[in-house]
Amino acid sequence: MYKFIMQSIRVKIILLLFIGIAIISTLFSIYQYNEQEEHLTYMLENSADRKIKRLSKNLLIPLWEIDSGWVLDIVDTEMMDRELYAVMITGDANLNINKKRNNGWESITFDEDIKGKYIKRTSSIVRDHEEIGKVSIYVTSKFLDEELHKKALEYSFINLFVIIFLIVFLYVILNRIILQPIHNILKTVKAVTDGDYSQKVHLTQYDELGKLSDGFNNMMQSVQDKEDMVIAQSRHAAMGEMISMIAHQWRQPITAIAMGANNILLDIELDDLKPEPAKAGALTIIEQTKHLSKTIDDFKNFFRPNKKVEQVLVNDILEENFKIIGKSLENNNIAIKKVYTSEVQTALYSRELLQVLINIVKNAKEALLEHKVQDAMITVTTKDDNKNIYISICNNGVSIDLKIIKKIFDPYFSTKSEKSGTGLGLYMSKTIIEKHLHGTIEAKNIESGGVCFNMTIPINGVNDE
Amino acid sequence: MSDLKQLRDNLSSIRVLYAEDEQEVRDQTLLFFNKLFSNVDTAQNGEEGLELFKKNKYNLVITDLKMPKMDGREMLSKIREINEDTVLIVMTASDSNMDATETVCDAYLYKPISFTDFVEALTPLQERILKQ
Repeated sequence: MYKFIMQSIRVKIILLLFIGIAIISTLFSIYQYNEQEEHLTYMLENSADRKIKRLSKNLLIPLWEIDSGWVLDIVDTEMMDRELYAVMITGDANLNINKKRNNGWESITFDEDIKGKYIKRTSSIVRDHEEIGKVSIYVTSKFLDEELHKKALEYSFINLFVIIFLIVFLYVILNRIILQPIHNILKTVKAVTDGDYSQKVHLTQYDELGKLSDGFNNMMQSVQDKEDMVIAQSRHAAMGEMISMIAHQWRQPITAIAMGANNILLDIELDDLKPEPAKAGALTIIEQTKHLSKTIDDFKNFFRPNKKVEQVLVNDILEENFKIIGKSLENNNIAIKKVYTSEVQTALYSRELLQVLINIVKNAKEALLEHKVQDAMITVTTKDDNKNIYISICNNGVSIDLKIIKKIFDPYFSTKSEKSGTGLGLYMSKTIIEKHLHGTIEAKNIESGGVCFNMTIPINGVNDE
Repeated sequence: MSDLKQLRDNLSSIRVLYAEDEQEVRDQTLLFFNKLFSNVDTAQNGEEGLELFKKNKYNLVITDLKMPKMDGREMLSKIREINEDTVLIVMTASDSNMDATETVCDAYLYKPISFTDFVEALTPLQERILKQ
């Protein structure tokens, strides 16, 4: 219950409104009740004054005459007014008439004292400056109180309706000006947290909430700008690395081409030029230029823009990766072990996945070289279940310090020397895998030494936007 | 170019060891060497090269630097330990991160080489090669 209240601003506002309005309306009711009571008491006292005046006037002659029958008559007439609780009359010649109400509110004779809360009025009946009698009346507020209570109940009912109406009315207004916009912002924040940076808060109000949503939009824009910048930077870095990989690819064919030409030239110089060896040399040159050309195609393919999702086999992308970086591994005597068991296609941005794979393999290569690992080997494994495709790229080098392994995906974090590491490769890889391909990536040390990068990619792929 | 013919005639009888791991490059370069020298042995890596050097007597060793199992530099320094006078020539890629000054050798050539580079490097070493 407590949790339920604390977690919803709606519930809080409704409760607050209810408590606030209830307090105000209760105070107002009490004030009203008091006013009414005061007013009615005043009326009652007024009417008591009138009654005593009338009685003392009406009783003047009957008391003078000492006509008890007449007096009784007058008292009975007066007692018809139910506000009148008791009348006590004393006069000459022991005239004593006392009337009061019993439980059934009937008029009865009595002679004890009156106790209780009544408005009492006493008047002397005077003729020719001589007191000939005395009259007292007791007026009860019983009926007025009843009326007052009835009225109070009525007011309470009306109040209740007013409270409910006010709560609903205020809630609707608050909902419009506060809750709905907050809900709006919250929805966008959630979408952004889930990785959809294109979401914007749409609010057309100029208050603090409007400013908040504008601020949020601006912040998201700058986050996106920054990410774009990082992507561009990492793309530049990747291009630089590509050039070094092209150098690896081209070294052998270029040397072979040069030797082919040298062989022909040497034959000419030695006056030993024969058609067959010359032809063989020229064919070698042509053969090797084809190799150069194919390398360019492989690399051009890496740089082709990839804005569309494609249906691909992860193994194929891994093979593309080795076309590009394989030569560089071979030149550095790093063995490659491939265990491809995944055979499902999935929809994804293949160039981005390729960028990630190249980056991780390149990191593995650099780690193996840096630590001069004997029998260096990179093992790539693919497998799948009915949910995900799993790719792992492992090297048999040196494990990463546990303090560092948590940070390796942070932007601008690098353990490599200033020159070769931008600190963006793994950050970009994580961004691509998680944000663009909706997968996961983690780095884990292997007990026997070395590191595995494990990636999962959902089998149902990416939706084209 | 009587220089070149002179060189060929002078050196035709020497025994050469050539180490290179890339097959295509090795084949083409062997063709080239065979035009100049009558007796060339090839090795695919430093280990093989060193084994051959221990078995046979060579006047000239030409090697790549980056090779599997044992790289060219290690092979050359081991060869130097065995024989101080053998002439050693390095032929390597220009972007190789192995520094020429740290390598034991008599001449240093960057791939891709032209035959004139090779001849220019070899000419001053002729006498030493023949002494072996």
